[in-house]
Amino acid sequence: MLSVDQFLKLPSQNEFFNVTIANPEIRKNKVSNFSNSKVKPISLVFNKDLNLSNSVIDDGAIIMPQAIVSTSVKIGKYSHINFNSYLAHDCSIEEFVTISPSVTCCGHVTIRRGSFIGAGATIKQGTLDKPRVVGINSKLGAGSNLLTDLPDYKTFVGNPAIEIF
Amino acid sequence: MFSNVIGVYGAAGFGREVMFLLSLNLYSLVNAHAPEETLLCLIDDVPSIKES
Repeated sequence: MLSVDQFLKLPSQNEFFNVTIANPEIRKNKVSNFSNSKVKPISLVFNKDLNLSNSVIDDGAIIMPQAIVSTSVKIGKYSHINFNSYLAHDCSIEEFVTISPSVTCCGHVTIRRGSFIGAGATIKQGTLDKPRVVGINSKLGAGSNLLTDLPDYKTFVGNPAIEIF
Repeated sequence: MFSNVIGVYGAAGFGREVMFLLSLNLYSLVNAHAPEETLLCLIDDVPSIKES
């Protein structure tokens, strides 16, 4: 195992990195360690057969096995889509979002940057005119069922999911 | 000297899962980057993790 400094000193023609820390704030901080170097972010997409058409996956994203990315989905930089999660049509995942295992995002869901979605949560679908929105740096607890929008910087849990802090 | 080096930061848990999957899927993931000349590195700065 190497430190960041040791890694950056390795002789190579092409260097790539990815940050796997689940906490979005810490992940953002660690990514900044690489920002002034020649190292480039690489997206890691396992099981590409389950990623459908017309989707965009930005650099630094991780899509784990059995995650299904449906059509017209956008996944932003350094976001994690964990095992067995499902992103239905027209979902938009911004940068530094963590989707834990077995999360279901029904269609037209927008998850703003830095948000954390707990394992097994379900997010009800939005519409073309009014997507369901999970706000900036917000959290949705494990097993929750989100039927409303989730405001920026808030934490919702339960079924139906409501604010706890 | 390797043509490519891929570093995965975070060795506490999820990083090890990703590294394992990366080693199994290297050819399909980085076939444009010469997998036979690619070095995989697990990276971490937390002392207790780094020394374990």
